[in-house]
Amino acid sequence: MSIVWCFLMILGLLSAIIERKPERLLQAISEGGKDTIEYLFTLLGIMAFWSGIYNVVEKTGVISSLSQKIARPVFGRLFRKRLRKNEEEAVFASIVANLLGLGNAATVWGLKAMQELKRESGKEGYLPPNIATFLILLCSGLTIFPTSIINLRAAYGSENAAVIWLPALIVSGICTVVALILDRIWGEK
Amino acid sequence: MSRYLAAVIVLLCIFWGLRSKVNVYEYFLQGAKAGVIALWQILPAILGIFIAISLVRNSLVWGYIINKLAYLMNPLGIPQDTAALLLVRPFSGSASLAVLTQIFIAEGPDSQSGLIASTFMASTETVFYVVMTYLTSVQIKRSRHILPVTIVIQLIGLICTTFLWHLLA
Repeated sequence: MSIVWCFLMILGLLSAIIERKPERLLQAISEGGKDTIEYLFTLLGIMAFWSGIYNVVEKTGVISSLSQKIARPVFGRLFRKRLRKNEEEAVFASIVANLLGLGNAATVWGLKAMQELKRESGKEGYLPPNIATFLILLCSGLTIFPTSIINLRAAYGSENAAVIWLPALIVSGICTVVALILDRIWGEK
Repeated sequence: MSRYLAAVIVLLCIFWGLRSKVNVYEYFLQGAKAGVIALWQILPAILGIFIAISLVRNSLVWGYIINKLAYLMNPLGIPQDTAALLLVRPFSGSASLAVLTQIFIAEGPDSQSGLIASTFMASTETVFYVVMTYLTSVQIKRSRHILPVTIVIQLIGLICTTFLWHLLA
């Protein structure tokens, strides 16, 4: 990830220097700061609220019983190392939130799952295979109903806004399968 | 339907909490605190990515790269204006929504480009952003094979989308 960031910065800075617009750096810094604060405003409520709700549900034990029934057999095949009970629950909740298209709420539960996965591995600075599989699963774009895109299409006058639903489902399905296969192959090294 | 989803889920959660006789408000606050801390931890990563994106998007190099990419994608039948989408999508949800909106305004949501761009958006994630913030939140610095895998699946996503719409249309 560090390489990607450095590459973008070098590209942007070199371009600014060659175009004789070095002030672009200052612009980018203040713009980035402003965007981050804006982001913080929208995200603070969402993050705090959904983590709170998650904690309540977790304490009732309903996630644990659902994940044992539904997730355990699936996760046993997906993940290379067997997940402990608390990891399994957090990963399950995060994937459900993603499938439902809960957006930032899904981020909250995803970060929670990361903490659980990390706690089990312990070692510093090393990427446990289960975290890789989990992130790749999230990144493969699996969703059941892409609400925001369909709404946007309708807002711009589409005659059949939901027509993309099935294609999106097929494509994200293909991507998920390919992603998991690649994780198995490239993750071995 | 899906507009009601979030409200119904929260309602069910609270009912479930009351039924199981747990201290709903106390646990809510406990979880909310963890949420605030998690946000605090990913904030620097978000700032870093926003600054880099702003820097690159304002440069001439950006336009040049998009043109080159559009040229390369042409033989595959991928519409030119989705080139910008392919580049922005991994980094930022809001920037890629802006690109999608531009396509809708220029060609309409039901045009070939509009359909391909919206399907691509709906079936992919802001992968670099997700990987960066999630790994930062647990202080992991090495991402090993994750980034190559995410790049490959974004490309496959765009190619599959294009292929599918060429079949359908």
